[in-house]
Amino acid sequence: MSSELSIPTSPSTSGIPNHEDWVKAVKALDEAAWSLLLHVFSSGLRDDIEVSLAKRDLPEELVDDIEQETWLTAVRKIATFEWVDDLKFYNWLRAISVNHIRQYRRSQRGSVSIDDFRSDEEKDDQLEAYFAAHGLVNMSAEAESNQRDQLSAVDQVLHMLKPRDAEIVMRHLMGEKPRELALIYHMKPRSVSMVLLRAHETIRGLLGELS
Amino acid sequence: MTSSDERLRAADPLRAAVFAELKRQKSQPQPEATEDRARTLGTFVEVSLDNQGISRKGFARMLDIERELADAILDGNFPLSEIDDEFLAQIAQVIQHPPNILRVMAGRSITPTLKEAPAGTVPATQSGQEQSQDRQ
Repeated sequence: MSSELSIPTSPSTSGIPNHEDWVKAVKALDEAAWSLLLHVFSSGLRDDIEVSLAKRDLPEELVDDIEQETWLTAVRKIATFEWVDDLKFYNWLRAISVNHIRQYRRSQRGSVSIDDFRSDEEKDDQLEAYFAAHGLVNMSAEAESNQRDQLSAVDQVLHMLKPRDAEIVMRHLMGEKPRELALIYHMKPRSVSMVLLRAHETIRGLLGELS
Repeated sequence: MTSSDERLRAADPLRAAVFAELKRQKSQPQPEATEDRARTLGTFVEVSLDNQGISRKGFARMLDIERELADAILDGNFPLSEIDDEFLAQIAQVIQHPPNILRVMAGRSITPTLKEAPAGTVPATQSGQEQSQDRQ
């Protein structure tokens, strides 16, 4: 893509065009587009980083490093960012910057301790159909409107389960098959399927209560 | 490095670093365009907070992070690759789930929990008193 990006004819108040070609240029890592981003946002971002550092009693000298790491992360991750407008972009930059500050603080403190059936084919099919309809990833637009209710029910069910079973349910929700899970957890496939079926029934009950 | 690169580096080191990174990233395969997992994880954490009566502000306070970062995580706008494992475990602790639950959601490899443990078992977290102060 050419680095001769045309400056917008109808810019937003910040001077960022927000039109489709502009977003494509940013995502294509066009130098002119990024130059404009730097021009518009770097000063404000730097000020906000200074405020965050002061709030955390961290030295002001860190501002250059945090600022640079923030922009480099933004370049590396821009393909995953869903551009809506310049405000959302700025909030994203800010979130990246405060995460870098958080990481710096943590590195200074040292490590913080955090504790840290062959199944019945019919039942398997039922489960697969259920989770295909209620999958957690790549949901359709209409399914997305119900996602919060579904995830709320999943949250409640996971709290009722033993850690191992909660893990199995979550792995299945994210796409792993009962047979694979049985091998991983040294369980009989039927036992895995029973864990999943019970979770399924509870989720359905909770969703029924909501509707 | 060309002489114009060197001049830019001297005059504006931030811009020079960003442009160098743009060049480097252009030569590498681009990551997936969407982060559905980030959105799903964000929504899951948010509904878990709702279920516990914890506000976004309380979530930020419990993690000792800025509100902007808390919002970006909960809105699914924050790249999962930028959330290190320790931070993910801290988030799991706030919503009282084992860290492996969020690791699975984030698509990370885990060490399976093979031993039986009582339901609702999570690592030790803040005292109930501290947590109740963060609920709104």
